[in-house]
Amino acid sequence: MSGNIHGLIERCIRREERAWEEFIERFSGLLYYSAKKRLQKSGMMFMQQDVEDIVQAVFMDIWEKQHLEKVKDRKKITAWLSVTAQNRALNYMRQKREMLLREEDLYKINNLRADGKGCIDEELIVGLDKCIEDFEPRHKIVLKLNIIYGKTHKEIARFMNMPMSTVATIIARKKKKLKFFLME
Amino acid sequence: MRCPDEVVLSSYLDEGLSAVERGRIEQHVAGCARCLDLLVVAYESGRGARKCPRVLQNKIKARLGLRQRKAIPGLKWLFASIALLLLSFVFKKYFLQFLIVAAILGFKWVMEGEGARKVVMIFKGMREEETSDLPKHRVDI
Repeated sequence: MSGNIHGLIERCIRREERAWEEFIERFSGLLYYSAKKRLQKSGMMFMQQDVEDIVQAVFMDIWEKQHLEKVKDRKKITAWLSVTAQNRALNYMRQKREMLLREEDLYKINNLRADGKGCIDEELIVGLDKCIEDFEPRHKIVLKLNIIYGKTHKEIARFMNMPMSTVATIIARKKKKLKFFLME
Repeated sequence: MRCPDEVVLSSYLDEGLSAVERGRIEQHVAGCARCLDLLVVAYESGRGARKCPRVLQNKIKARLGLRQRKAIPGLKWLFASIALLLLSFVFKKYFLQFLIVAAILGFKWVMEGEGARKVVMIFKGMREEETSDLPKHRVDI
């Protein structure tokens, strides 16, 4: 599978038409999901057309600017594609917001309020950041993934490429410390 | 510290990263909610198959100047329908049951066609327009 992807990317770099068709069919779903999720998390109201515009723009960029050549490990392109789509979504919404502010179109701004869907509790992030200030970076990430994102031990282990037992130990120890800190 | 670029950040989810590189990214991600959030979504997007509307895929192909393949309506439903219709004549005892199932599958085949999908989309759009409170004007960027 990964070998196939490597070959596919190489063929896309050589601009083979068939390879590009396959590339679009294989990865458009991933880009679509990432862009949509990012827009949901940004808390702004958006339309289906916005997501479609972003996905199209990402593919156009990859095609025109030969971005595929930048990817070091061509077997593992999914994470890069997802991050690219998300960044594009953030820029898109920023531009859109600026445009609306320039136009002083209050009606539209009112309609771009957050609906809260998929948003992360910012108070929770700030509070947690204060409590875990002195923790190691790795431990901070583990705790954030567990507390803020609600990830299971298994998911965190896969995400951070570490054994599940280590994740469990870190969470148990650090939560104990957190409890102590909060009680103080 | 500035946020790492897309290539560096996404490489964190690759298993082949060295401990030093991993540590460097972790140092940043631990204190940057934005980057951690990007990574979480990237991680989630890689789990399971994600679908994209066929219409959008065709639009992208058109913009890139690639040839488009027309969506073939699910022929399997048509074949299944015909098979069941034939079977209804073989097993005469269950003629009506076979016929009903054949009709249902035939209907499904018709509904999966491009034309039927457009009609459904028009109706959906009309219904959404009536109920939705979304902004009516889209701003193009």
